[in-house]
Amino acid sequence: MKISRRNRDVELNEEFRDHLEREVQKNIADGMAPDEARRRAAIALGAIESAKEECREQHLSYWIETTLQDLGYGLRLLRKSPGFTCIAIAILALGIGANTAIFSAVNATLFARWPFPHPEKIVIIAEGAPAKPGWSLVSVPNFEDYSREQKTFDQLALWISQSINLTGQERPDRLIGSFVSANFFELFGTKPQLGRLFLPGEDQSGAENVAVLSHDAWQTRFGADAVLIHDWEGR
Amino acid sequence: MPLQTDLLQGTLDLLILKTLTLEPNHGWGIAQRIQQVSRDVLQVGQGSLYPALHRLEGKGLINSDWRESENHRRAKYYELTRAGRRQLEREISEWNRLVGAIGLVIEGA
Repeated sequence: MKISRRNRDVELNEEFRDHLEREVQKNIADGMAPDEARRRAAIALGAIESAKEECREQHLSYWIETTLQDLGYGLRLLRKSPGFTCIAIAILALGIGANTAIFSAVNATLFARWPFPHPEKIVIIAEGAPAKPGWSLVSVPNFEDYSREQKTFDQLALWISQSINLTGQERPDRLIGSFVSANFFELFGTKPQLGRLFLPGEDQSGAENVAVLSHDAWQTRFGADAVLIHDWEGR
Repeated sequence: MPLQTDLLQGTLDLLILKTLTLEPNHGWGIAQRIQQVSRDVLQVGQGSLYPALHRLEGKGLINSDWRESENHRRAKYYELTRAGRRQLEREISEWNRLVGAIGLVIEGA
């Protein structure tokens, strides 16, 4: 870049010098003395440096170079005062980090599309006592009562979130999961990617234990093993 | 009386492009030719001439290269490109439209 800039400048200087010389020659041809010719020519030409600068400004590469020069200058200044630079970087990092975290949360909860149809029809019902703050989970017998007797909603499903111990691997692990009623997925209208979801009656006591894995868990904990799914389905 | 070329930038471009339709020329030659053909009315100073030439070159309407000139000095010659010729036609018709419109206003209104 530097070499081409020097070439351009050299050429620019030569172009202007050539113009001046021709003007001088013309003046001499018109009969002026050489000194006078040169003086007149210089006056006629006017402000050379600003004209040259304006020529340089016409090319995009000039702007790119000056921007890079400014950046380089800025970086050199920053290097000279490391304390200030560190503080500035730390503040920027904190600000950007906090902003990203908040936006990710807002994005996931408010803006992201819900992956099932008619999200506006889904409500969460919880139990609460007037005297106590907060909500508590609905117990299974209560849930069964509500399901049987209510008429407001198309369907009710029970959802109890729970952390679960996973054994049978090299190390026991703790997973985040939920215990749900058998119609849970039917209520949301989701379809399984592999295998099947719950069948009616599988939530009654005495039925076999069945689990539905999230895609993420299947990939990270169980190695995306398709055989595993079919294995369980067979049981 | 010579006109100080505070001509609009576009008009100077038009004059330069037209001048180059004959043959390639260097900056000084272009200015001289414009002055001669306009009978000394249009005198283009190098302060506006060379920025215009560089700008036209940047847009690809003219090309430049260094050649030996008639007095054996090396000079930077400019010549019209095909795009430059097309642009010249467009600018001439625009110019005629403008002049016609101004004429109408002067005569009519």
